Amino acid sequence: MSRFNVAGFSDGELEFYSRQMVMDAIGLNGQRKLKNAKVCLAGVGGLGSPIAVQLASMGVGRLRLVDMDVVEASNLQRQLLYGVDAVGYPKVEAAAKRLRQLNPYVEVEALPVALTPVNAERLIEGADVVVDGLDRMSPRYALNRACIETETPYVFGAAITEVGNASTIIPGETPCLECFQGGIADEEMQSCSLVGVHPSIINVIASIQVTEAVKIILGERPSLAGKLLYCDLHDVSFHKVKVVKSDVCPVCGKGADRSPPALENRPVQEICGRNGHRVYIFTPDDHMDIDLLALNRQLESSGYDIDVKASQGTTFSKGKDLRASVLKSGVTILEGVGTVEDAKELRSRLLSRSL
Amino acid sequence: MGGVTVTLLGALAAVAGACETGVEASTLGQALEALSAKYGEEFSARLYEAPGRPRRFINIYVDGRDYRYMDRLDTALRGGETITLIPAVSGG
Repeated sequence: MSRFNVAGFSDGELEFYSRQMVMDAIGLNGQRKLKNAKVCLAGVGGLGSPIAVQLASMGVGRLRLVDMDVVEASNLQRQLLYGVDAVGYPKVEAAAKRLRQLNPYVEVEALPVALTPVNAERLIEGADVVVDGLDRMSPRYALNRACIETETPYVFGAAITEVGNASTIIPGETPCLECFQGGIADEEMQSCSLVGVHPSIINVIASIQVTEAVKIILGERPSLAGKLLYCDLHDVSFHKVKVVKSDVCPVCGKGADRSPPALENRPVQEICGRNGHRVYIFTPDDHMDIDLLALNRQLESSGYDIDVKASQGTTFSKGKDLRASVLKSGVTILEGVGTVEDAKELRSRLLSRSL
Repeated sequence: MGGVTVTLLGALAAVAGACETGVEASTLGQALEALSAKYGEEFSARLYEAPGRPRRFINIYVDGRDYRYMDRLDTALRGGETITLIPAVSGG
């Protein structure tokens, strides 16, 4: 028998959320809105980890997690969703498991796929708000365009070393991402593997993003709509810069005289090296539904050491140099194989019996 | 030509030793050159990838508008505008 008898909430939920429901800013009505909300979180790495934890613990009813990567040891310094026992697991799988332990009252959907210009709209479909946990500009541009096209609010965030950015994009009202930070190639930007990232800036920016997303869900005006926040933890400074929607932005401007520049969709690309090895990642647009049991049998019969057998992927190795992961979606990460042609040949061989 | 306020953030502010300054300029390009003259070679090297070409990852706004959607470095300044130089961040 319910002790509190509040429609739509169990006694367990009411106790779980009691410390935020007592706030005027949220209350019972706000908690209902959170419970009925659906958020798509693109990326569950550095930013995505604390974003996911906070959204789940606040009671966002449905969380869709999208990430193409597996957990590595170098992630653990800042991607606090994961412990050493999660190394080798698809991030979305490890994240979903942890979030369900954290809050069993929310639904978590785990998609081990790459976000591309082809699938972005499909991945965000039905979301009330999209939150950015990505680590490069190219998927952000795909995400931005999908959000503009579907009129879905998008909370942008980014962080490196001790600095971070955040902005909230309301389609049709505020500047879109390409109004104020468009046309930047990934190769022009610093990566954390080269310059590092302080966990604190990750958590500060992530928390701000969550605050903005929650405001949208509650029906309030987000504070960073039309503003770009710049935070520098070196001197703990915060600057909010006004940014203006451009009528001639090719993505969202009504007066644009040209189409947006095409976004490159690279099914295979070389990413930052690991352990002194070249790394290639294959990112199919559609979920390939790899037969992981068949793959695991083939790997074992071919002399590979399987390090992790997960529901959404397998991580395996051979000798000191080769290490790889194949996700159920078909995303494949190959480390230590030499050239891109070597990588293609190996992947083709590995997946030939698993489709 | 008029006086404009310039807000610097990130490494540019660190090299300049200031977050906010003022310059006299008729165009955005002149304003950036004035900053380079004021703050020296290291500032200039961080701002430009080639003479007259700002690094793409430095976002430049004139009263909040991205200069790429205006007249770029030829964007006219009447005086009173705020120019903001803010390095783009993309990690996460």
